[in-house]
Amino acid sequence: MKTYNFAALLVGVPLLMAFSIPLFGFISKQLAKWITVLTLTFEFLFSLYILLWHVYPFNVIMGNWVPPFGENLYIGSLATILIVVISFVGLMISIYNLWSAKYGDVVHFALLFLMFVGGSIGLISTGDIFNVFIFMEITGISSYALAAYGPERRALGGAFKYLVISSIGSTLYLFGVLLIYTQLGTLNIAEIAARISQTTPGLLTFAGILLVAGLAVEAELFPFNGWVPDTYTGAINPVSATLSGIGSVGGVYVLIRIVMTVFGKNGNFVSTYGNLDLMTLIAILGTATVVIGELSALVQTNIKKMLAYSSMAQMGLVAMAFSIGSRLGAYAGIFQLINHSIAKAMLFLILGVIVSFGGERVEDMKGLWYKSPFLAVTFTIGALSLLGLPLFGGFWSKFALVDASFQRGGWYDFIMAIVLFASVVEAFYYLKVVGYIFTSKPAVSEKIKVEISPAIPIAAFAILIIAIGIFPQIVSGISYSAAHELTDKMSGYVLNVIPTIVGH
Amino acid sequence: MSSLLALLLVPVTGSIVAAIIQRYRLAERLVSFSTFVVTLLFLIDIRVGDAFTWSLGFLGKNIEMGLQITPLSIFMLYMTIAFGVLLTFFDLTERSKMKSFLLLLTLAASNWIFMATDFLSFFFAWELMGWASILAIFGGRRTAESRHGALYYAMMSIGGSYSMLIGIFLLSNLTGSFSIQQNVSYLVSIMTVHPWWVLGIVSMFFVAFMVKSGIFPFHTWVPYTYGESPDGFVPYLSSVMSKYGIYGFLIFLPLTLSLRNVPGVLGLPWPNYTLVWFGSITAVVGSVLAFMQDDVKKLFAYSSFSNLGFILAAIALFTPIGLTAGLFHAFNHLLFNGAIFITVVAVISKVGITRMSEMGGLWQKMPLTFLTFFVGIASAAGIPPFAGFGSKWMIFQAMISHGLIFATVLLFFASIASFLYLMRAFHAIFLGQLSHKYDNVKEISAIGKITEVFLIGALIFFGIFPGFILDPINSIVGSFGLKPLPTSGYEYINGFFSSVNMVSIFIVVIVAFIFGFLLFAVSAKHKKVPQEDNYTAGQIPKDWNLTPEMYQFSYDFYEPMDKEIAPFLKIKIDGFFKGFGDSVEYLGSSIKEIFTGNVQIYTYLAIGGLVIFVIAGWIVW
Amino acid sequence: MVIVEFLIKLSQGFGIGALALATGLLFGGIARKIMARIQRRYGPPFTQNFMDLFKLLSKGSVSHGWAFDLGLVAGFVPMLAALMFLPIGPFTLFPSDSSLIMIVYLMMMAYLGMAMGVLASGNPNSAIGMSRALMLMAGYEVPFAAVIFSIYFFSKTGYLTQIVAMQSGGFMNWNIVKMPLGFLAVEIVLQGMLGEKPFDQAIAPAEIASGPMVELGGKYLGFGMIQHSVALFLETGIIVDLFLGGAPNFWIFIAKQFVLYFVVVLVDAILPRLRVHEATSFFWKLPLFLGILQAVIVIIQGGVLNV
Repeated sequence: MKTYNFAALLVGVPLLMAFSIPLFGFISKQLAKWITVLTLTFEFLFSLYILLWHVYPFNVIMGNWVPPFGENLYIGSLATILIVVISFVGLMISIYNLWSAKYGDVVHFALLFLMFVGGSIGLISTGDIFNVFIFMEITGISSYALAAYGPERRALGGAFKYLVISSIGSTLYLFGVLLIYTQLGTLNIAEIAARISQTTPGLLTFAGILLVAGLAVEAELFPFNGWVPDTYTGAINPVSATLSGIGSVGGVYVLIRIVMTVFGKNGNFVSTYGNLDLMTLIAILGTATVVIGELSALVQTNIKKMLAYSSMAQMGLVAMAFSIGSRLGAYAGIFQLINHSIAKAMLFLILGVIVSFGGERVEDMKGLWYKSPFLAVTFTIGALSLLGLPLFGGFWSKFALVDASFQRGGWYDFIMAIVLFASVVEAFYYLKVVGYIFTSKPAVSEKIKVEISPAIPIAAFAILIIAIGIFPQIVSGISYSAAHELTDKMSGYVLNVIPTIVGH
Repeated sequence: MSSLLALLLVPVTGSIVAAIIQRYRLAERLVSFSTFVVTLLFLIDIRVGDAFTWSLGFLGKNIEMGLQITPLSIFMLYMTIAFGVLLTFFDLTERSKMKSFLLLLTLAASNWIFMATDFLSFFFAWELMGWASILAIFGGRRTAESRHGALYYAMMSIGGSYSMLIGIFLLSNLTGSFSIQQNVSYLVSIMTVHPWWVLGIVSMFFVAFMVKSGIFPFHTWVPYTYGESPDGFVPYLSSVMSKYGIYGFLIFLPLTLSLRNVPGVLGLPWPNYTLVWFGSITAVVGSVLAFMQDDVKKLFAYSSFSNLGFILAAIALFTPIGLTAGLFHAFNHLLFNGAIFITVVAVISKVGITRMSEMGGLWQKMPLTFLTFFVGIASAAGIPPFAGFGSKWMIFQAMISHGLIFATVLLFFASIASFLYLMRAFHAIFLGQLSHKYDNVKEISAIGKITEVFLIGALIFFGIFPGFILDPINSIVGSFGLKPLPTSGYEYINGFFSSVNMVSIFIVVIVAFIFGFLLFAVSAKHKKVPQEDNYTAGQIPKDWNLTPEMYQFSYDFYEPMDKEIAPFLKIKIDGFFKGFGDSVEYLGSSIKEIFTGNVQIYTYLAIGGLVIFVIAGWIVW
Repeated sequence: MVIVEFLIKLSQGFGIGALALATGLLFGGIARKIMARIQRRYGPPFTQNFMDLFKLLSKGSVSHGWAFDLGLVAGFVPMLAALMFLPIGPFTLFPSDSSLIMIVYLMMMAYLGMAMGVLASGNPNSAIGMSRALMLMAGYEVPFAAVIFSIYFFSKTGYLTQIVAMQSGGFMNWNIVKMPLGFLAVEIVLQGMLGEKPFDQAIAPAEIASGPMVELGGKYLGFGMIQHSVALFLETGIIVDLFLGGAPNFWIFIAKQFVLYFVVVLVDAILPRLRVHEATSFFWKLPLFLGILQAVIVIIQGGVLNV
C-alpha cells in the first residue's frame, strides 16, 4: 500500500477555495472568477503531475487510521485519468466563465462551480461508500443551484426537476448503502468488495438494485434520466457543459465503481454477486438509453435540447461499454467517457457563444460558417468526434467499443447492432446541423466576434480532440491500465487499499 | 522517410495549407493542384512491393499497421492521382464552391485505402474519406438540396461503413488480427467448413462497398448526391470515389477461387453468380432511369453507377478475362466519365442551369467542349477506336464465355440504353436550336481548353493503344493467381473469342474519313445558312412568334417509352429508404413524448423502473 | 514494302466500298421496282438510285454549320470502315480482324455521326425522328444481342471468318439449320435495322417530314443515301456470314443477301407502320423470346465452356 497524503489537496483545495471565495468577492468580482481559474489550474497541474510522473496508485489516509478503519481516498489509474479530465474540463469552463458569467451573482456562481468540481473530484477519489453519498450531495446541491443560475425562468424549472429526481436517487442510494452496512458492518469500498460474497444474496440483490437505481440518476440512464433534457436546456451553457463534461463523469464513475468493484465477480467477463446480474441490468439500461436518447434527439428543433438528448445517449453508450465486463469493454467505456466529456463540453461552450448572438434553434445555426469560421469548424470537430469519425478522438473509442462488444459476443452482437443503428440516427442529426452550418447563407449577416477567453477553451478542446484522434496513445495506455482496476477488483483495487485482506 | 508515407502526408499537409488560405480562391486552387502534382511525383518513385509498417498502442496491445503496394493498389493510385491532377488543373479557373482542403483530405484517405494492409487503417481511411466527401458535398449550388443530397449520402455511407465495421470485428475475433491478408486467408481456410459464415461476414463488407459504388439496391443516393454536389467535386465523386467499392470487392473476390470446384451455376460459384446479377441489374437500372432524366448531373449520375454495374458484373466473374475487362472498364470509365463530367461542369458554369431541356445549340458557342463531350460519349457508348470500346467488348466476351445469357442480354440492353441517354444529353445540351439567351456564352478558359484537348488525346490514345493499360492489369490478374490473358503488343486487345488490332481499325477509320472528306470536297458546293433557316412545313416562323426555344425538341425526349418503362419505375427502392427514414423519425417523435417536462411523470418513471427491477430481481430470486 | 501493302489494301478497300455501295443502291432500286409492282405501278428503273446519288452529289445545298457537315460525313464513313472487316464471300481484307461485336459497334459510330449531323440542323422533326430511331434501336438490339450470344457460344469464336469456316461443307452445316430460332429472330431484327415497315417510324414520311432527313439536301442527302446503301449491304452481309454459311464467291454472297432483303421488302410492302413504343415492345417480346430460347438451347447443347 502506497500512501501519498499530500494528494488530499486535490479534494481539499477546491472545497477550501470555494468557501473562501465570498471573501475574495468582497474585493472584486473579477477576482472571484480568477480564483476559480487559479484553483483549477492547480488541480489540473497537480493531477497531471500524478499522472505523468506515475505517482498513482496510492492512498490518502486520514489521521493514520489505515483502511478499513479510517476514511481514505484511493487514487488509482482510473481515478487519476478521470481527475485529469475533470480538472481540465473544469479549468477550461472556468476560463470560459471569465467571459460568460457577467450577470447576477457572479461570486456565488464561482463558489458553486468550484464546489461542484471539488465535489466531483472527491466523488471519484473517495474510498468510502458513505462518503460517496456525501460527495454526491455536495455536487448535487451545488449543481441544483448552478442549473438554476441565469436570467431565464426555464432554468428554475429544470433545476427543480433535477432536484426532485436527484433526491429520489440519493435516497435510494442511501438505502442501498444501509442494507450493505447492516450485512457487513463496514463502509469501506475495498472491504465490502472483498467480503461481498458473505452477504445474504436476496438482500444483496435488493441493495444492488437500489444502488443502481440511485446512481443511474446521475449517470443519466433511462428511466431515471427524466431531468436531463429540461435541466440541460434550462441551464446556461457553461453549466450544461459542466453537467455533461464533469457531472456525468462522476455519475458514471460511481455507478461503475459500485457495480464492478463492489458487486463484481471476476471471471472472463465481470458479473455481479446476488441473484440479478447488475451488469446485465446496466447493459439493458444503457442500450435503452442510447436508443431513446438518439431517437428523441433526432426530432429536436432546439439545438440545446438536441445536445442534451445526445448527452444522455452517449452516457448510455458508456454504460453499455462498461457492462460488457471485459477489460476491453471497460477500456472502451473510459475512452468514450473522456471523449464525450471533452467534445460535449466544447459543443455547449460553442453554443453559449452562438446563443449570445442569436437563438438556439437548429435553424439559427444556418450560415454559421459565414458568421464565424472558428465556431463552425470547432463545432464540426466536436460533432464528428461524437459520431466516431476518424481524425477525431471519438473514432478510437467507438472502434474499441465495437471490438469489445463483438469479443463478448452472444447477445451483445444484437445490442451492438441496435447501438450502431442508433449511431446512424445520431449521425443524421449532427450532420444536419453541420449541413446548416456550411450550406445556408445566414438570415442576418452579422459576424460573430469570439473574444479571447471563450476562444481559448474552445480551441484547446478542439486541439485535444484532434490530438487524441491522431495519437490515441495519449489516452489509450492509461485507459487500458485503468480498465484493469475495474475488471480485476482484487489486484486492481482491493489489495491496493487493504493489502492484508483476503478475498472471499 | 518512406515515400509511401509521403503519399499520406503530402495531401494532409496540402489540405491544412489549403484550409488556412481558403479565402484566397486562386491560391487555394493552386495549392490543391500542386499537392496533386507533388503526390504524383512521389508516386513515380514507388514500386510494387514497397511496404511500411508501424505499430499503434491501442486496444491494450500494439496493433501492427502497414502500408503496402500491390499491383492493384499502384494501378488504383495512378488512376486516382493522375485524374486528380487533371481535375484540379481544370478547376484552377472554375468558380465552383468546392473546398479544396476536403478534396485533398479525400486524396489522403484514398491513398491510404489503396495501401492499407490492415482493417484498422482501412476502416480509418474509409471513414475519413466518407466524412471528407460528405462535407465537400455540402457546398453545392443549391443549398437546401445539396444538404439533403449530402445527408442521404451520409446515411447510406455511414450505414454501410458500420456494416463493414461489424464485418471487421466478426472476422478479427475469429483470427485475432486486423491484417487483411491473414483474415482473407483465414476465410479461405474455413470456406469449405463454414461457407455460410464466410458468406455472412463477407456480405457485411460488401454492403459498404455496394453503397460506395452505388450498386443496386444501394444506388438510390447517387443521383441525389451527384446532382447536388459542387460542380467541381462531381467528376471526382463519380470517376474516382466510386472505384473504392471496386477495390473493396477485389479484396474478397479471390475467396471464390477456392469454390471453383464446387458446383454452382454454369460453372460459376454461387457468390460470383449473385454478384454478376447485382452488377447487371445495376447497369440496367442506371441506364433506364438515366434516359428519363432532365437534369444533366443526375443523368450522368445514373450513367455513372450504371457503368459501375458493368465493372462489378465483370470482376465478379473473377476469371482472367472478366477481371481484365472489369479493371479495364474501371480505367476507361474514369477517363470518359471524367471527360463527360468536366465538359458538363464547363457548360453548367457558362449557362448557369442544369436542366437540359433549357439548353441546346451550344456547339456553336463551345466547339471544343462539344468535341470533348462527343469523344466522351462515343467512348462511353463503346465505339471504336475510342477508349471504352475495348473494355465493353471484353466484358461481353467474359459474360458470354460463361453462358450467362440473361445477364448478358441485360448488360447489352444497358449498353444500348446508354446510347440512348448519351444521345439525348448530347442533343439537348449541344445540338438543336441555340436560344438567344445564350448569345453571349463563351468557350471556357485556356486552362479548360488544355484539359479538354488532353482528355480527347487520352481517350483516343488509350483507345488505340490499350496495351499500356492492359499490361499493368495483366500483372494485377497475375497477382491474384489467375493466368493473365496473352499479350501481343500495345495495339492489341485479346479477348476470349477474338482479338482486335486497334491500330488497324484506327487506320481504316482514318483512311475512310479522308475519303469521306475528299468526297465532301469534290461534290457540289454548299452554302451556310443560319439556324432559323429551317424547314417549317411551309409556315412563316414570324407569324407564329417562333423562337428557338419553341423549335427545340428535347423535353421528354423518349416520351413514347414511358409506357414501356413504367413497370420499372414502380419498384421504388428509393421510396423504401425514404419510408424507412420517415418511420424512424416518427418513432423518434413518439419516443420524445416520454420526456414531457412534467416532473411527476419523471418521478413515476424512476419509481416504475425501480419497481420493475425489484420484480425482476424477485423472479430471479 | 509496307507502303505497297498499304496501297494494295487501299485499292482493295476501295473496291469493296464501291461494290457494297453499288450493291446497296442496286438493291434499293430493285426494291422500289418490286414495291411498285406490288402496288401495280410501273415504278422507276432499277438504276434510279444510281442516278439519284449522282444527281444529289452534284447539286448545291445548304449547310447548318461545321457540326452538320462533320456529322454527316461521320455518318457514312464508319459504315465504310466497318465494311472493311466483313468477310465478303471468300474475301476478307483483314483476315485476323473480323470480330463481330467490333463491326456492330463501328456501325453504331455511323449512327452516332448521322445523329450528330441531323440534330445539329436544329429541326425538331429530325430530333423526333432521331428519338424514334434510338427507341427502335433499344428494341431490336436486345434480341440481336441474344442471337450474337448464341452464335458466340455455339461457335466458340468471335471472328466472322471462323464462323463462316465452321459452316463450310454443305447446307446442313449452316447455322440457319442449327439455330433456326436465332435466324428467325435476326430476320425480324433486320426489318427493324433497315427501318422498313412496320418499323419505319424514324423516317415516317407523311408524319414527321422524313424525320432525320428533313434538313438534308444535295450532297448531304447523298451521304445519307450512301450510308443507307452500305448499311443495307453490311447488315445483310453479316447475317449471310452468320447464318447462311458465307459464300464461295461474290455473286453467291450477293444473291444470298438479296434473298434476305427480298423477304424484308415483301414484309415492308404489306404491313402498316406501328407506333414506336409498340414496335419497341414488340422486339422485346417475340424476337427476344426466340433469341433467348435459341441461346438456352445452345447452352444446354454446348455445356459450359472451359474457361
